[in-house]
Amino acid sequence: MATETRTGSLTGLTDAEAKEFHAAFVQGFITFTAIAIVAHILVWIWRPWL
Amino acid sequence: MLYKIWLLFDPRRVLVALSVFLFSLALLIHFILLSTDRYNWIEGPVPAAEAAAVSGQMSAALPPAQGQAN
Repeated sequence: MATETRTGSLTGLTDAEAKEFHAAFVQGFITFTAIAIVAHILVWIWRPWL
Repeated sequence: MLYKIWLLFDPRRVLVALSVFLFSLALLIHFILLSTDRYNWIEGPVPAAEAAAVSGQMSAALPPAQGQAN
């Protein structure tokens, strides 16, 4: 941490930290979207809206 | 290259903003669905006569004894 440069980034994150956070963020996004898709399928089975 | 967005936007603020936004949106959509007849999963579809009585349009169509509260 001490050797990495933190200048040039508005948030203070290094490139590696941004990559690490991005991986977790994408994983969370995929999980959220998967749950939403399942919920929509169940509601469509219950009462289709089109 | 998309990960470079976290060099521009603070991850903590993005997470908080996204959570608040998604929660509000979910709450709004759920209440909208509850207000509808077809997608109200608690009350279920309300029969037309009962729905009219609830909204106060039914007193003329009901027998007098049932149409008034007192």
